Amino acid sequence: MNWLIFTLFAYGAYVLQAGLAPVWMLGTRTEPRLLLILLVYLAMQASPTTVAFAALALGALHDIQQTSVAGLIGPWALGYLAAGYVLLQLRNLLFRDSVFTIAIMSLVAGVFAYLVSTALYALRGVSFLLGQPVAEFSAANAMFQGFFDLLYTAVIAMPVGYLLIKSHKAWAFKGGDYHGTSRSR
Amino acid sequence: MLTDTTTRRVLIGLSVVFVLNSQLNTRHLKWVGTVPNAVVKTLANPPASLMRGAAAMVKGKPTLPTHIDPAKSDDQLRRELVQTRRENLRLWEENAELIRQLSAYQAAAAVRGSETIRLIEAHVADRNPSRSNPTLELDKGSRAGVQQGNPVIVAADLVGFVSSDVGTLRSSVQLVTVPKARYQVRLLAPESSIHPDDEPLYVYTDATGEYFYCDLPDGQHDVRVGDIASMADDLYHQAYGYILGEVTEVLDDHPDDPLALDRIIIRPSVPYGRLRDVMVQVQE
Repeated sequence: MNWLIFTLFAYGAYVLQAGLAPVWMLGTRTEPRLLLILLVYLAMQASPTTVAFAALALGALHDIQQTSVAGLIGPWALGYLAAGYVLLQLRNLLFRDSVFTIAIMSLVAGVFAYLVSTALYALRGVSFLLGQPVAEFSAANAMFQGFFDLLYTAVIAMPVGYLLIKSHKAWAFKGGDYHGTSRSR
Repeated sequence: MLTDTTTRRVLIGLSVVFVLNSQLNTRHLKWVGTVPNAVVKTLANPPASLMRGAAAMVKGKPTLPTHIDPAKSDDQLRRELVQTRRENLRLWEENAELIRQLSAYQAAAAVRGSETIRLIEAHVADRNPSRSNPTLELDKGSRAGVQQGNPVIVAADLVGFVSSDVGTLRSSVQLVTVPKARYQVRLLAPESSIHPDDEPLYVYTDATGEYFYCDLPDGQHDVRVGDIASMADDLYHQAYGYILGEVTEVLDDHPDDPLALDRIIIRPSVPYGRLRDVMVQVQE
């Protein structure tokens, strides 16, 4: 995979995520996760090693974007890593060039990402560990909110996934990259 | 899945680092998170901020709801119109008084200040409403002269101080309402002028981060609702004279007990959640 293209796409996803918030945010908090969609696309195409490192990088970007605890980088990175692992396990069963695959897997992988990150946030509040709970954080609320985020992400994943699939050549997936079930392009 | 042993080790190592980092306390997080945060936000915040501004313009501002009941008769509406005009006039007069007050503060600041101090405008690119560490992200950084500790204001009201997280084109501001903070202020009656000889007192941030408070002996103070808390803290000398908030409550729970303390509640008059533009007082 071409890591320069990855950097550009990750940067674009980060900027769009932050910049389009006033337009596409539903209510006060529900918004799609472009970084997650990008991870799903990569997990469908790239080699396992590439997916793992890309997941950590995209998750770290998500961590930087979150504002509940300044400087906290880790929960989302590990959440995305878990999501990447799940995607790698499932991708043999999927059509990798379908926008529906990207949409549905955004929802499935997102659940794992949210579970892991929420667990790590919740761990901060355990008294015999760090004992420093995140202000106004509730694991149940985070998962409830996450469910709507993921539904919204799945919807947005269709047009975004289409664009990503169209950009396939630029990514230069080759060598050890994945060659599984694919429809003719 | 991962065949290469070295790669697997690197990945496991990174995962362990992230797990440990996710359980670090907030003080140590600052050390670890500052550089990646600064790099990413310096690169991404300017275009994101532009895009957000454009997006807000496209979406348009929400129309304010009116409270006029269409079922009301003409006479009722006329009466309400007269009342509203009177109220409008009263508010204009009050505003004029506040402007005079503001001029007094600005004059005091000018006397105290030097030529090396200037105010620069900054746009609020992002905000963190967390109670434990409420911050604002500004689109101005060290290139514009912003430094750690610079006070951030709106008119004469103090919003916060620039934190150590200063990038080239962005900076982070810690709000004055951060929990466990303590400031030295002078409480001034709105009609009075500034009395630099008045004894300053300490006010503390409430755990909710919504107001400041201090306890004064019952009957030994003349603090009233509407008094203004003006910064008089040597520790924050750059913010000397700026307004921290306004006294909104004087709670006397034991009026019969002469030894009881009155709790003075001071609320900031700046709506931190809706701030769009602020001024940063930088020093050259």
